[in-house]
Parts: sequence; C-alpha cells; structure tokens
Amino acid sequence: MSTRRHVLKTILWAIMGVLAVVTVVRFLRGLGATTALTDVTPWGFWIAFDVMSGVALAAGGFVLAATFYIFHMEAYHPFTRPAILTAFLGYIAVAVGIMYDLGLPWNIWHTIFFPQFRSVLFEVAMCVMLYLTVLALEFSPVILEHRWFNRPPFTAIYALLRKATIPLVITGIVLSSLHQSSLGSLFLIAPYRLHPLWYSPIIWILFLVSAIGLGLMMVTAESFFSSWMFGHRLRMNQLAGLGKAASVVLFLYATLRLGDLAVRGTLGSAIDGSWQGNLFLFELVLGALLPATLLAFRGVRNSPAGLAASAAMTVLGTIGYRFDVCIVAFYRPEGMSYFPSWMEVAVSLGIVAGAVLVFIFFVERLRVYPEEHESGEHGEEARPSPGPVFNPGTVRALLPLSLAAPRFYSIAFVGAAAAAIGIISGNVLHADPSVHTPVSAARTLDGVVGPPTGGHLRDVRVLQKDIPVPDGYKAMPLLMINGNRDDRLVLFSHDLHITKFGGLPSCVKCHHENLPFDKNTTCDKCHRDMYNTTDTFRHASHVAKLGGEKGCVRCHRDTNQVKDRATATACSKCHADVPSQETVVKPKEGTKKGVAAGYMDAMHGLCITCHRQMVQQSPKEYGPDFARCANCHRDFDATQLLRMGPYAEEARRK
Amino acid sequence: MTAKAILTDTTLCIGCELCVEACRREYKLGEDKPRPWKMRIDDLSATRYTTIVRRPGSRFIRLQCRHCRQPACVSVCLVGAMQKTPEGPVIYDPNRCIGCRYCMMACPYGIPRYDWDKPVPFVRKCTLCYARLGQGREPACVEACPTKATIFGARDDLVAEAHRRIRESPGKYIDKVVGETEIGGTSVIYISDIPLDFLAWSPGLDRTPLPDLTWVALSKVPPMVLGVGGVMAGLWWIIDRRVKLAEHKEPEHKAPEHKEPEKKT
Amino acid sequence: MMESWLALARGPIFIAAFSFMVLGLPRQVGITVWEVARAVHRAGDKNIPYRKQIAATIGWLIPVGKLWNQVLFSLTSFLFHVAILIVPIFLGGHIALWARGLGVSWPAISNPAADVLTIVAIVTAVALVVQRIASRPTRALSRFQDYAIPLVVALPFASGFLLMHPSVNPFSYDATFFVHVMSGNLLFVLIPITKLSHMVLLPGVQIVSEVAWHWPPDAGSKVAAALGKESEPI
Repeated sequence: MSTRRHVLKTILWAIMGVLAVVTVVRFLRGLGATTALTDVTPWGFWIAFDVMSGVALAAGGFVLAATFYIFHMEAYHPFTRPAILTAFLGYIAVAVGIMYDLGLPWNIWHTIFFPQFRSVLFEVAMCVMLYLTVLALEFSPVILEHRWFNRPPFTAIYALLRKATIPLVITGIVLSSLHQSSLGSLFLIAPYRLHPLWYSPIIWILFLVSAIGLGLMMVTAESFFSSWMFGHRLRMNQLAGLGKAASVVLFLYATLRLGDLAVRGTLGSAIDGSWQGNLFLFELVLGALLPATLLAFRGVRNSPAGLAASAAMTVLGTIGYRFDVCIVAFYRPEGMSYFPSWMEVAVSLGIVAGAVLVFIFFVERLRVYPEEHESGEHGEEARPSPGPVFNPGTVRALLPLSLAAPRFYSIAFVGAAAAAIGIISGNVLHADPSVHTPVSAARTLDGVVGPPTGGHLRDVRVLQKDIPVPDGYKAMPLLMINGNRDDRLVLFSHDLHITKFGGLPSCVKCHHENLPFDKNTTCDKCHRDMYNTTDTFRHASHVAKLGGEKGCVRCHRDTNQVKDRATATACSKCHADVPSQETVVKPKEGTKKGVAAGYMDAMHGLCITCHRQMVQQSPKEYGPDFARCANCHRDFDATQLLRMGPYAEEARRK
Repeated sequence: MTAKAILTDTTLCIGCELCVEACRREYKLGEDKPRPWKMRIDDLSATRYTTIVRRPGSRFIRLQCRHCRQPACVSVCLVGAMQKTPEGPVIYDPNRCIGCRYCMMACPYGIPRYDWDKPVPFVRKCTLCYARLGQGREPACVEACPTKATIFGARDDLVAEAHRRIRESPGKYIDKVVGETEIGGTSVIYISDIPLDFLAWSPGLDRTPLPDLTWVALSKVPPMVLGVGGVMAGLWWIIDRRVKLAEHKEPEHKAPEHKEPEKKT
Repeated sequence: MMESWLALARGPIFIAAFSFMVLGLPRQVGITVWEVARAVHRAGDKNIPYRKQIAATIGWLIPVGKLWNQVLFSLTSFLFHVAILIVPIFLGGHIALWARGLGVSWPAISNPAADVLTIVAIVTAVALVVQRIASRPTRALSRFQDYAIPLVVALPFASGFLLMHPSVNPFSYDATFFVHVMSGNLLFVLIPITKLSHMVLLPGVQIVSEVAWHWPPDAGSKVAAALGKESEPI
C-alpha cells in the first residue's frame, strides 16, 4: 500500500473519530446543541451539502449508465463501475446525512406508510429510496464476482442480475431525473422566502440540467482521484469526450438560467451590484460559463490540468448553486444570519470520510477497475508478487505497514475523538445553550411627571424642548431603565421614590449591595445579563486581598474538603452588610453565593414585590393597577421615542 | 361544520399579553428563555405560540399561526403530520412527524417553531385550540382577551364583520382585511390602522395559493416517468439493434465501430 | 490569567486527556486480543496452558512471589504501585471532584495517610530509576521511556503534595495547581500509548509471551526459504 493512501486513510479515520463523538452529542443533546440552525433557518449545512449537493454529486452514476448501457458507448465501460460505486456510496451518504438532520429519524418509515402525493418531498424520498435499491442491484454483480461468492445460489443471482441490467438502468435513469429535478421543486413553495434570482418556476429543470453537467464532471474528478490514489492511468480520450458533453450541458444550463431570468424580467437584479446579484454572477460563471467555455476548446479538453480545473470549477459552482438556493439566497430577518457550527461541518466531513474509506475498501478488494486485473481472475490475490517470496528485507518493509496500519488508524480515531470530547465539553455538554444578553446601564433623561390620578397612577412623559411643561406636572430627572435596549422601557423617578421612603437613608432598600469603595452601586454592575444569572464573585481579588496563598484557609477552612463555593465560608461572615438587612429583596435561601440574578428578574423582583405590598397595605390609595405591568411599562408615542433615541430600539428603526 | 376563524382588530389591542399567558397556561408551555435560535425572547418560539408585536405609536399586533385555507405546510408535509381540518385549524400530529422541518421552510409567514433544545423535538405552533373547539369552547387566547380585540366565529361572519367595521368608521382603518384573499385566504384575519405587510415573510402576497405553485411541477411526474422511461428504452432498442446489425454485417470492423465516440472528440 | 489557564487545564484538556485514556485502553486490549487470537490461530501447537499462565500472572503480582529473589526491587515496585493507585483514587479532594462532575463518590483516606503515601510514591519512583541505572543487565535493556515514566508519574504527586501544604510551597498556588493538573493530563495521554498500558494489558502479558513461542506450522520452511537454504537439510 502506498504511503499516500496510508496517510489519507489515517486522516479519514481521524475524521471518523470526531464524527463518532459528534454523533453521540447530536442524538443525546438535540439539534440546538450541535447545529447553528434557527427558527428562520430550519435547513442548513446538512441539507445543503449532504442532501442537495450529495445527490447532485452522485449524478455521475445515472449519466454514465446512460452513456454506456443506453447509448452503447463501449469506450466508457471502464468508467461505469467506479461511477456506479461512487453514486451508490454517495446515496448512502445522503441517507446517513438525512438521519442526522431529521429531528425524529426513527420515524423515517412513516414516509412509506403515510404517503402524501401532493408533497414534493414525498416524491424525493420515494425516488431516493428506490434509486438506492436500484444502485445496490446495479453494483451487486461487482460483489458477487468475488471468489467467495463463486458457488451455486450466488452464481444464479449473478446471472439474473446481469440479465436485468438494462431494465435496472432505465429505472435508475427515470428515478434519477425525477428526484434530481424534484430537489429543485422543493423550493417552488417558497416564492416569498427565496430571492427572485434563484426562485424560478423552472427551478426543477435547472436542477436536473446542472446535475447532469455536474455528473459528467464528477466522473472526471473521480478519475483524477483514482489516478492519484491508486495509480490508474487517465483515459484522456474518454475524459475529453465527457468534457465535450459537459460543455454542451453546462452551456444549456447557463442559457436556461439566464433565459428564465430574462423571461421573468429579473435579469436586471443580477447586475445591480447587490450582493445577491454578484453572488449569482459568481456562481453562474464559476459553475457553468467558465468551465463550459474552457471545455469547448480542444486543447483544454485534452490536457489533464484543463480538465481538472474545469471539473473543480463545476463541482464548486454547482455546490454553490445548491447552497445559495438552500441557505444563502433565503431571506431572513436582520441579525439572524446563519453560519454552520463546526459540528455540522464535522458530521458532513465524517460522512464523506466514511464513504471514501468504503470506496477504497471496495477498490482494494473487488474488481471495480477492470483494467488493473487483466492478468488475473480474482482481485488482489492474482497479482504477481513483487520480488522473491520471502526475504528478510521484504518482511521488514511489509510488517510495519500490515501490523501498524490498524494501530495507526485506531490511534488517529481515538485521538481525534478525545480531542472532540474535550472541545465539546467546553461549550456544549456543561454550558447552557442560552445566549448572553448584556445589560446596558440605565440612563438619566429629563422628564415630566403628572400628579397622582385614580389608582395612584401618574402620567410620565419625556420632556419636549418645544412643548411647555403641562399644568400640575413637575419636571424632574427620570431614570430610563432599559437593560436590553428594546422598546419595553420603564421611566423611573428616583426623586419620587426617595421622597416616598423617607430620604437618603432609604437608598439601601433597593441598593442592597455595594461594590468596594462605591455607594449605591447601580443595578447593572452586578446583574449583568438580562435573563441569566451572573457570577459576580472575584476570586483573584480575594486572593490578593487575603495575602495570597497563605489566605486560602480564611475561606476554605476545612482542608479535607474540596475547595469550592459550597464549602467556603459564607460571604456575610466577613461582609456583614452583604446583602443589606434592610433591603426589600433578600436573596432566596440556598442560592449560590456571589451570584446575581438576571436583570429582568432582579428588577421585577424588586419593584413588583414592593408595589404589591403597597397595594395590600392600602388598597384604596393605590388601586389594583399599581402592581400591574402597565403601571411601569408605559408606551410612548413616536416623538417621545425619538427623543430617547438612539437608546430605544423602535426609534432607531424609524 | 362551518369554517371557523379569528378576527384581530389591532386598534383594540392594548398589548396586555393576557392572550399569551392564557396560551401558556392552556398548553403548559413553560418559561421563555433567550436562545441562539430566536431573535428576541418574546418572539414566537417553542414556548410561545402567540405573541404581541409592538409597532411605533402604541400599536400592538398579535402574532399567531394564520391557519391558511390552503396551507403550504400541509401540502409539503411528506407524512401528513400537518392537517387542515374542516373547522379551520391547521393541526399537527407529533406521532407522524419525522422532523424534516420542510413546513418551517414553506410557511410564507414563518410561523412554525422547533424544539431545538430537545433530543426528541417536535414542531410547535398554534393549533387554534382545536381540542377546545371540539368541546364547543373558544380558543384560550380569544377567551382571555379583555378588550375583544381578538374574536372567534364563523369565517364568513367575521369577514363580513371586518368589512362592516371598516365601512362604519371611515378613515379609522386601512381598507383591507388582511388574510381575506392572500395566498388563498387565511383563518386568522386582521384589520388595522397600520399596514401589516411586515407580518408576511416578504410584502406583497399574491392570491395564488402556494400549493398550486408546486403542483405545476409535481403534476409533470407521471408524464416524466413515461417520457424518460420510453425515450431511454427506445434509444437502447434502436442503438442496440444498429450495433448488432453492424456486427452481423461486417464482423471485422467491430473494433473501429466501438471506438467511434473517441474519434469524434 | 493563571486562573483561566487553570480552568482550561481542569476543563477541556482534562476531559480530552481522560477520554483519550478511556478510549485508548480498550483499543490496546482489542488489538492485543486480536493479535493473540491470530497468533493462536496460526500456531502449529495450539495447546496453550492458560491456567498455568493465569497462576503465573498472579505470582508476578505479589511481592513474595516470583520477585522474591530481588527483595529490594520487589518491595519498591510493590509500594510504588500501591501508593500510585490508592492516592489519586481515594484522595478526598479527588472524590469531591467526581461527586461534583458525575455525582458518584466513595470513602476517602485521611489526609495524613495520603501525605505518607504520596511521599512513598515519590521516593519509590526515584528509587525505581536508581535501581534501573544501578543494574547493568537492566540498563542494557532499558529504553528512554523506562527512565522517564517513573519520573513523570512522580510529578503529579510532588505537585499535589505542595498543593496540600501551601504553607511550605515556595511557588504560586495556581502555578503549582496547573503543573499538577497538566502532569496528570500528560499521564492520561501516555497511559494508552506507552508501557503504562500494562495497567490493562497485564493479564495478557504471560499469554502473549507464551503464544509467541508457538510457531506457525510452516515457519521452518519459510525461514529456510528466506535464508535461501531451502534445499539444505536441517
């Protein structure tokens, strides 16, 4: 075995190791923990790459089957088996990829038992399932040729399958053209969500034609791979023929695409300089126009470099088309962009790695490439052995490889898996998937407050420079409490509350804990996240304050116990005033030391608790509305919001 | 059974969110938490089937599943987990769902939500309280509304009522019943004094029901099967016969015949 | 700064290293079993005295058994193994970590006992290296890892001892902690890929060396062919 294949297999096994770990996380923790999918991007990398691109990349199978079996182009015979194997493994990879993406993959059999004939996806699913069967039947003769199957029941099956070749091939072509096109039809339902440069009533024709072009180029790409990997010779004559056909198909695809835009009158948006227009042009030039033009020249077609470049461009461009339709060109609200998580990419890479490993396995053991075994009957065994039967030199050269290979692969697998576990442990298994919503400090602005009306409600407004203060209203500074800068802000009058509670000594009722050297520390200093708790304890500064290493025992008194928060001395043992005894809200019993509640919970807990008490104590004065949402959360008219801008989100949007 | 519907008059909504709370109680939805997969904490989510969208000038618009008359989500579902009932609600059968999320891709209003944080996830959306309708009760949100901003009834009556309100207070409303005809009409309709285009994924919804767009391509499947199959079989037969005839005629020239495609290039 | 490095070492790096050991040891067992099975399959004489081999394995485990002819080495090795097995598993602080991470716990040894065993571990580790250097035949057979590994094993014990006695620790607590955790992590990584894997391969060692002497049936003729002496009588 060549060193090159050895290295490639080691890398592939390492990727498989990562896949194994991510698989466990995916099925134990769900899609949210593994993917970057959102409610506005329900289909992401797995659908775009594993399914959309995977099916298109496997199109070489039916294209080559048609070329050889239907059109009787005998020269392409050597390509047929590798192309069908590539397609077979490609479709298995698609099926495996779907299992990761489906939320409830164990229900996949429902597709057969609850058929829905108006659903495009149903048609795709049935076609893929049937085509996978056809591919298995098309490929099984290769397996049955192995000497192990050279016995009665298998020889009969082999003969039968050989006879059924033509019907199988025709069924395969029908199924392929159906689902290759239907993958495009899937998006017909979304005219309001897909950009008009990609949404097209004939998107299904575009998908089919681009898949045929890509299929031809994938056969080329696969030839380059096998020549690189297994040292097979490149059949330049036939590859040039494929290139010529691909040129025609890709030109047809580009013409259809541009023609469709012209007919619908959206051609202009392709050249309007928007990112979508540029992306469209890039994708069309890279995936179709450039390779088609290059392949139209005989010189390019007949040079390996020209063919390889064209194949690479077509593959990338067509994958790009699928990604654009599926993800990039989909409208989504601002601030909800999608970029795949590393685990999504790892799964897709892992599935490809698995497919390549199986491909190499089959090529090593079965007659996939006919030319290599012309001298012998049965695969590898029939090859002439190199050199003498048994000499010490050969033994030394062979032993490390034959014995070390599984050791290498397994250590690569285990090492990569362990690294993946380490990385995942950092951000998924132990962390909350919730997002951090930083709190912005409350701001002071000039306002006017009206007299108490029924139910003790006061009218609160922002002071308008050009409007005089209304009668009975008092101008005073207001605190705009708006932690996450949305439009549900509260205007809070410090003055009124201080007066109510009896002057400055009452500060402590709300400001229950101060930072060192601070007085009346503002809420956002500790309650730093809008919805989640914040760890406010600073270990390093305590260490420094208590005299470094010698000070550990000041808090961690029992040296037999693990040094953590639960066993450490309570904060109040040193900080007698933390939290203040006069505060309205005391931390709940048993809450973690040095942890501040979410900003919203803290505010609601403080204000509503007190307001409710007031309502209970003197219901007549305050009335029931005093403790309800609308008492504090007022809605301000547009000019007032503008006045508060740019701090209120709504004003900014206008 | 007559088709039922909800009419929401946004001019009456005060944004008290009692409907949201009623829904939360009815379906035991639990707490809203900030999550990477939603834009805002009070966005529609797996824990919030209806929500209030605030617009400038104290305008409140209640968001919920529109229960289209010809729903895209129902037409795309490959196992029939989404169903349109004759009473109006579009309901979801979690036991059938396979979790492909095509319904979420297809919805022109972007309504269905997903249990992203669960290992056994389901699609979540308003079902117009289908179970309550069976007991002859109103949807929980309608029952909870203190200002009758959102009302429940037969769809035809509500459309008439909407037009009556617009007619009787000229200038108060924009002269349009949102959801009457777009994409074939919906079972949750709105009247409002501000444009409600932002409720759809992109403005300017057509009258054509979305399933019809798919059907154009889907109806071509049987002819395509016969066409492609027939053409391929025919081609094979003709070429095979030609090759055999050529072999029969001049067996010596077999090899050049086979290399023909190479020569062309 | 040091705290975040420490958090990295105690968090992701520890989990990766520990996972590497947990996954790597079964791999070693699997490969060994597979290779022994293949060797037995190919062996000319398939009569492997399994019972005798198991008895021999147990004999090597106890200090008064097979190693009695080298009393000093036997005792050093035994004490070393006892100490390095008991301290990491039964130290109170470590058990607390298990309880916090996985919710499992078991009885702990007292801290003074752990101190004594830790010193034993460090002393015997150094003694093992000294004994290896002192004996000429052992020195001739030793590889680099044979000298390095006892010292690497001693590292987490030495740093752990300093951690338990911060008053005598001349270095920064966090830095010591970092060294302690990282040297432990290094051991977890080394266990499946060095001779440390004897902690799981031990039951098979005797069988492997036994099977190695059961030649394949055609071994003789192959050797002859390799030497180019097929035609010569043996």
